[in-house]
This record gives sequence, C-alpha cells and structure tokens, in this order.
Amino acid sequence: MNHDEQALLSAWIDGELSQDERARVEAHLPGCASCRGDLDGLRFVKTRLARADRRAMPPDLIAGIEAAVARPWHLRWFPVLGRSTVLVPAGMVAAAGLIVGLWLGMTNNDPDQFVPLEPLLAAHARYEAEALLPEDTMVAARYSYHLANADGEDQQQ
Amino acid sequence: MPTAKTSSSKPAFLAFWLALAAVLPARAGAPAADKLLDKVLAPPDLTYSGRTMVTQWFGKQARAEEVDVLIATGGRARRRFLAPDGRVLRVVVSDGETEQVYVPRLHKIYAGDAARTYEKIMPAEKERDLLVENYDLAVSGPETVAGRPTWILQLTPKTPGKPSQRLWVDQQTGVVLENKRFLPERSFAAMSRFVTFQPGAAAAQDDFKVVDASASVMHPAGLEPAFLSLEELNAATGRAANFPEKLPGGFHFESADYMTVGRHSVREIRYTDGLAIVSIFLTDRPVQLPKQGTTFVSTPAQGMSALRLSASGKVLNWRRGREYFTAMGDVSRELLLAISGSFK
Repeated sequence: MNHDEQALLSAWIDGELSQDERARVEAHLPGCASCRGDLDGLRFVKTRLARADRRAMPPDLIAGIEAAVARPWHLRWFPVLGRSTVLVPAGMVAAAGLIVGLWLGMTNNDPDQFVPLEPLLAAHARYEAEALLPEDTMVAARYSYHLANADGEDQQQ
Repeated sequence: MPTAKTSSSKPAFLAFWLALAAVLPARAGAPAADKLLDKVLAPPDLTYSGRTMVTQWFGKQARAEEVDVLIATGGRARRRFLAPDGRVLRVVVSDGETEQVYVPRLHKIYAGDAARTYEKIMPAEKERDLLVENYDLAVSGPETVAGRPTWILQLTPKTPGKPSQRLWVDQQTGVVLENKRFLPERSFAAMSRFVTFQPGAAAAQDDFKVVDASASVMHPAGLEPAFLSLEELNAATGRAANFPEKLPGGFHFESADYMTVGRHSVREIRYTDGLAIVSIFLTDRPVQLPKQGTTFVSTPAQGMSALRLSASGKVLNWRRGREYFTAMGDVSRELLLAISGSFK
C-alpha cells in the first residue's frame, strides 16, 4: 500500500491541498483503514484545540523581544548588571581593586623587582676604609650600620 | 719731620710685633702641611685605647654613637659601638688579616678581609698626588683634644661641590684624635672625636676575635672587596662595560668590583680624588631608594629619563637603556648630576 497520501492528511483537513492532491487523498481513504485512523486522530486534536480557551497576547511582548535582541550580550546573559543599584557598587569595588592593584605594583616588595640599597651603601662605605686617608672609626661606623640594616633590622631603634 | 716720624712709627712698629707675637706661638713648631699629611697617611704602629664619639648627619637626621676603641700593633683593632644605655650595638674587630662585624641583636657575624690588606689598582703615591692636586692643605693649631695638644690639618677642595676635611693630629703620637668632614651644602656631615685617649694600653689577642657560638657567620658583598681593572671586570662578568677614566671634580678611576646582592648581579666602579670616593653601581634592575627624602630630577639634556636624589647618603639613580646606574658619594647634588652626565 502506498501511504504517500498520509503526509497530506493534515493539509487535506485544513483545505490547503490542490485539486489533484485532494483527489488523490479522497481516492485513497476508502481503501486504507490506517489513514482513516490517522485522519480521525487529527480531527480529534483539531477539535480540542478549537474548543480550548484563548488568551490575548500581552501587548508589549513583541517590543520586549525586540529590545532583548538589541541588548548587549552581557546584559542579555546577566540582566542584573543593568540595574544601577548593582552596577554602581560593583563599579566602585572594581575601581578600588584596580587602585589597590596599581599600588601593589608600584610598591612591589618582590625581591626580583628591585636591588636593595643597603648592601650597596655598605659596599661603598667599606671601600672608604681602603681610602688613602684613614678614617677608620667613622667609616667602620658607617659600613657596620649598613650591614646590620641590610638584614632589615634598624638596631638603632 | 724725621723726629716726629720716628716717634709716631714706634708704637705702630711695636703693635705690629705684639700682634705677630700673639699669632706666632700658635704656629711655633707647627709642621709643614705636606709633612703633617704624610704623618697622617702613615699612622703609627702603636697600641692605644679610648672612647670616641661618632656623629653622622643624614639629611636632617643625625646619629650619634659612643665607641669603645682599642687599637694595637699589627693592624689589630676593636671598635665597640655603644647605645646611650651602654648596650653593645655592634662590634667591629680586625686581627690584621680578617675582619668581623658582630651584631649581637641579630646574632650575626659578618666576616671578611681586613681593610688595607689588598693592593689597590691605583698606587698610593698617585693617590697622594691626586689629593694634593685636588685639595689645598693648611696647618693650624695647636688645639687640645682629649687633653692632648694637636695640630689641625685642613684639606679644602679646589673645585666646588666636594667635601672639606679637618683633622686634629696628636702632636706626640700622630694619631688623628678628631676628624670632621664638611659637606659642601651643609655645615658638616660627620665627625669622630676622642673623648679619652690612652696610648700604650694593654691588648690581648683574644680582644680581636668575636666569640659567640650561637651567632651565624655570613660573608656579605663588600666585606671582601676585589680591586679589578675594567678589562678584568669585563672578563670576569662576561659583559662589556665602558667607563670614563675621569669624572668631573677631579675624580679618577681607581678600581672595579662585582658582587651578587640577592639574585641580582651588581658591578661597582670606584673613583677617587685622593680624599673623597664616588662609587658607581650598575644593575639590571632599579635600586630601591627610600621614599622619604627622595626627589626626582629631570635631565633631558643628558638623554636620561629621570634622576633621583636621596637624603639617605648622597645617592643618585638613573637609567640608560636596560641598565640602571646608581652613584654614591659625599659631593654636592650639582656635582653628582654632572658626574651622571659622564655616563652617556
């Protein structure tokens, strides 16, 4: 049995077929119990849908959809960001974080970032001990002080 | 008239001689300046002890310490730096060959070689010639320091922007009992002065060694200096450094050295004018200056981005390409800037 007409049943009910197609379906139905069963099912669904309550479409639905499509991606995915009560504090926190980050960058205590000064002062003062004119106590005071400070300790305090 | 002239010139003549007589006793027996300089440059090999006050100015801050000094023959020395309450802050001892800097509070001993145990690049005679070339010498006195008569040797720079120095030299022993270094922009920068002085004091060998089994021993950069020529420095570091032989202010290249500070390799170039020292440090990263007292100076004419002056000693930073320069020395800001301009 050829059931090509089965795909045309829904359109046949709705009166959307051409004259030739309608003639084919109508010639097929009397001899095909399966298609008649399908036809009864389709008619049942259409009848129930036709009896169902109808609700009016919200008037701003279309406008809302169009506006949502036109929004930036981050507001589409995170609409909470569009609220000023969230955005302003979040901006302040981000700005504060940026400032702290910059400050940390400028005052970086990473030993690889800077060469400490005290060991160089100690080396300079120690070389003064080799100078032509002996100033031993004055010079020893200097470089021993800088050596102690190079370890991060100010023992004068 | 001749008679009147004679009578009026007599009091003036007498006044002149009286004034001269008032000055002359101070100069009587005073050594020539170059002789006194040589006496200072060759300190006596004798044993003495005493108490010294050392005061140093760093910008507007001053640091004063009392030092218990024991000096003995053979280059042996012990200096104990004391807090006002008598605590020992630091001890610097030398047995003539090795030196130890002991910091009791940190339980650390910094060990190295004793000063003046190396042969420098520049011969002592040339360094002395430089000193005489760059400074005017004068002798005055006598003055009394620690109850002893001294001659005062004054060294005044011939070019502006450099420190001058005044030394009070014990007439009997030749030991420098007082030393004042005057900075060009301030009244003076540092002084040490014996309060008490006892020549011929007793000293034992144990006096010149630190004994603290709990202390950790360290060998920091600078306590074991090397004296390299520029060629030796370049060969040792594998880097080509080209430095001027002379700097403004009469400074001449003396020697170079290199060291490791943390993870950084540091090259040091030293210049002297016979008295003052200027050190130039080269690093791959900037040297961290204290925020307090640091100012920025722009010198676009020298092709440098920025220069920084710090009150923590005279320290100047600048950058040239990927290298960072740090200059140190007791010279004026203008002279330090002029020196930086030599490294183009």
